[in-house]
Amino acid sequence: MKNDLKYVGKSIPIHDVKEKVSGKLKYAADMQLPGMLHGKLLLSSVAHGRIKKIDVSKAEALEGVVKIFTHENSPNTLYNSHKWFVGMEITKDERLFTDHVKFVGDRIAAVVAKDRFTAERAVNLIEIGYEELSVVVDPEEAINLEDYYIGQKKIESGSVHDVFSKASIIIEDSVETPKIHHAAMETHVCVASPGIHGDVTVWTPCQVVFQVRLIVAEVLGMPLNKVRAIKASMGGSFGGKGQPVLEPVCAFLAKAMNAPVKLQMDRTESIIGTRTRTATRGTIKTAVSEDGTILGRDIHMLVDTGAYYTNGDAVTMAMAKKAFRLYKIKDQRFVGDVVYTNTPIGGACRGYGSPQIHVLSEINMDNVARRLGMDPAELRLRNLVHPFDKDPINGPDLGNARAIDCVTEGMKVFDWKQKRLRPKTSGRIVRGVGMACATHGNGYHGGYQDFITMSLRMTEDGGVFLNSGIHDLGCGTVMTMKQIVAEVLDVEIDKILAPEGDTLVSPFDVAGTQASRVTFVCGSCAMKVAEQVKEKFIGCASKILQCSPEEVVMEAGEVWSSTSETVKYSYGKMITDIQSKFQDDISVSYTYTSPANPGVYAANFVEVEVDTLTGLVKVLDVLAVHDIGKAINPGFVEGQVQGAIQMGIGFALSEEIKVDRNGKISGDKFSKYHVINAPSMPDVKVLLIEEGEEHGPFGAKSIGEISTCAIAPAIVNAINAALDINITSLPVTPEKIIKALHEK
Amino acid sequence: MMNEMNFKMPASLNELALNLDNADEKTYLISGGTDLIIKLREKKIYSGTIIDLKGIQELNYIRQIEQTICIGANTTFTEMIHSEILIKNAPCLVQAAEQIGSTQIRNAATIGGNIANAFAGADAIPALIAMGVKVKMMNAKGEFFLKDIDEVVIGSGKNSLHKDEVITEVIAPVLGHGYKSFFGKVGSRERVTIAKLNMAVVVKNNHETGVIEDARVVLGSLGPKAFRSDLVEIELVGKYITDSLQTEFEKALITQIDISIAGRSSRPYKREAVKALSEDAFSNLFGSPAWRCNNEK
Repeated sequence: MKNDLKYVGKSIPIHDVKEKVSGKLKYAADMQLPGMLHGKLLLSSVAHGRIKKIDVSKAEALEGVVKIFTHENSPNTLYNSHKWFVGMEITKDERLFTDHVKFVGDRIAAVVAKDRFTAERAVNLIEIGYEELSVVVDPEEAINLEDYYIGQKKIESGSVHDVFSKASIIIEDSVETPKIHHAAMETHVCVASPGIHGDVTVWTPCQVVFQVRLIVAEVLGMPLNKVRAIKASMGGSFGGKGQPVLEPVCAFLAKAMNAPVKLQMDRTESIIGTRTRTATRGTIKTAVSEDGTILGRDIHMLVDTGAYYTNGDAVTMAMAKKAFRLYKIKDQRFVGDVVYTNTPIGGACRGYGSPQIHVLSEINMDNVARRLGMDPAELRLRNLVHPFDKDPINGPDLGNARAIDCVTEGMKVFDWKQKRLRPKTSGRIVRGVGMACATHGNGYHGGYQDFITMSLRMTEDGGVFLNSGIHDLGCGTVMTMKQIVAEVLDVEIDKILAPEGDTLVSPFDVAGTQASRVTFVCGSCAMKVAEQVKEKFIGCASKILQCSPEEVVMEAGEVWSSTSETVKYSYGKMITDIQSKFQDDISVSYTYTSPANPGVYAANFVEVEVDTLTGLVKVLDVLAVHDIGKAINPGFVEGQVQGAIQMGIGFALSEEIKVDRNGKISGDKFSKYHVINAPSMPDVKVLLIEEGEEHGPFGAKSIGEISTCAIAPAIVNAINAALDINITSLPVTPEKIIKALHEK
Repeated sequence: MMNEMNFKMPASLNELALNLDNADEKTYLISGGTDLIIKLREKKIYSGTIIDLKGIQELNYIRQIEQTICIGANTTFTEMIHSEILIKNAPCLVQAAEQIGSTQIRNAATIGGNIANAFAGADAIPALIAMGVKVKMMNAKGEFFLKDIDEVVIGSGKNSLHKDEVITEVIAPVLGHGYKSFFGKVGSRERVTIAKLNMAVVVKNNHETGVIEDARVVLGSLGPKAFRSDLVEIELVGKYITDSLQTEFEKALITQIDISIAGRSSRPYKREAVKALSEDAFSNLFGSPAWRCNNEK
């Protein structure tokens, strides 16, 4: 079966490649609706304070300004944008416009004007009187303050206390990770238009249309059926457009003005005023035996969710669970404390806690290896999970977990042993190698509801219509679904229509494009619904062909009976005949519930070069090895990995939204917030381990998030090994390297 | 609407002079726009007059006239990088041009604009100061006059031009026999980075005696404007090129940094990173250490 796949396993370009490269594709920012107004937000310039006075008179007097909204004339409904299904219980602390600003970037007001520039000008004319309150930006301080402390998450397997009381070798590290901006090319943008039935339509580059519908309905007190959310073309998300940020605001403005409104952010607003990767301070203690077997591990994470709750506890739990699924550790404890600070809001960001927990654990693993005088790769091989291991905290089974293969294959291809043992140079430019491992999941099974409905219909001209609430974030979701359907039905890709999410017409999906669930869960649904359509089609066709269903052959758009190979029907002709003979429609609507959530695994190997005088690091070479089960589209997989490495190098070396003790933010524009650019990108080699996963479509597992989880610690480990230092604070800037070399 | 921005694009210097005649506080000259457009957005400037110099073809040239090199104000950094005249006579200026911004920025940004913008971390300015260039300007009457670069760039983001004056040309001397030059920078990444520290060096080395006869060392990003460092230059003049001279040079640079940014949080890093510039300057100007030792004998 595996070898004669016709569509799956092929690198086919993304579905809208031509429209994208020819500039025909319209993004939300390109949308123009008749009578459309333009909104602009006023964001707080102080980190903590109560608004005593808002004077909008000058702004209102500006020609072209239509209306200004603040906390005084907008709903005060509290909500939590992290809530993605109706039954989710969660702390609600955000509102459309606040009178109590909690960080530099908090929403105070919106101007609606006839054009964008007038709206921008007017925003600057609004005068705010603040009563400034004390500012807390340090999570270590926040943990002791009642108003800032949120709570604790704790998981333990076995007994850490027993192990540590007996252990003779314990290696401890403290690791810091910063707030990170997703840096999608497209900044946040949304268009909303009111309907004549008291309804509103929202176009947004989003990850979960049903979540957008839910949040808008909740904030505006509308029935779900009155809100239509349509996924717009996506100019990049990486989790940043997961939680609705502009959508409820824009829908409110459109409803209040009874006119279409476009609301968009510039880069600085997107950096400070949307969501960020949650900052962490972690400590880890690992007890090991002389031979490198991990005896026990004790982890504490201080999680800084920023000014609003959002997913503070969810991201902490996500970190926690990963700690139990990479190495076999019988006795382990994870304690996470979650705090507020007066800093930009934490949210989903590619990896969802995984990059943070792996930075902590994987830097520590290298320090364990250093202490024991072991090869860090060998240390990992001794402790990594094996295929079909169980989760020690009773999470979903690990499935066909090929972590060990990732390391052994990677060591060979990277020439790890030889490179690691190469004699160190003593000059100004020093080279070193490092590696790290990581795990991630495949959806929500075991944590949250994880089901999706898709409907599939074969058309009268041999086409296929897959209707579902999918979202292509630029990673190839649409084509992936098409390839799966094409493979099952043996129909050309071009004959398949697979539109993206629109709550008016898409069947329900409970969770959207997040949690690395799309290929594994949605792809499985596409496969199952296609199989059911195939079964129905064959059933009907067998009656027309007067043979048994087993004798029906479907191949390349044609159907016939193996007993009479001369009489071949096109799929379209067969559908028309089925319609006229049986008055039946070859369509199926199917709800697939994910039965599993196996781990995906990765090992990254890197070589770095450090200028010991400037502290500048150049990543020379990256090998990313991934346990992917089966790549539905290897080109997409490689693209995901390339981008994830770029993101991870920035996390390791340069990216940081810096907040000073007064809550002022630097690194709020790209001249100060340095993502890794083309000249700094290394050659990234991708090696796939394709050993199949039982519940994945054609054996496939996820790649989108795991691909950015191992790179940062691998780089830090390489730098530390090259310079014989132990930097554990990200990003590893030239300044930190020079300081560490000085203190050596 | 109130968002009124007038746009003028003179095609000649004569036409430009007429435009300058009406110049006021809200008149902005643009020649590439890589800084100005961002400034207009940041400072929320929505009205005024923009005079685009890019239509003036006669301001785009690099010429050598005997012992001077003339660079038209509209010359882009990309054009400078590929100029045989500059490659031969002003390597530091080419090296600086190469390290400015991104390819797109270098394709648009001009030498005139870089001077007028007077950014403290500008890469071309230290090289221009080290080269000892003069800046030619024109006023609304169409009169031309010259000033030292140091008199034109007067502070961070500050130039000495009046509203009705425009930079038309940069005039650099051909440095002559025995002169060499270098530009280097340290940013927070390899390319497309704003200098944390930059340095231009021009030296004259007497090949017969082996002694450095003239030295100009200009440091940027250490204050409101780039400056020549006397205390570093003194270390070089009259000295033989040896490894120990490099050490003295490095020490002097560190001393200069300690003085210039005393008490700043960036000092600990910059006083280390300047060693890289020192090393790069020496190997670029005087070859490898091995070669230098032989030369001394």
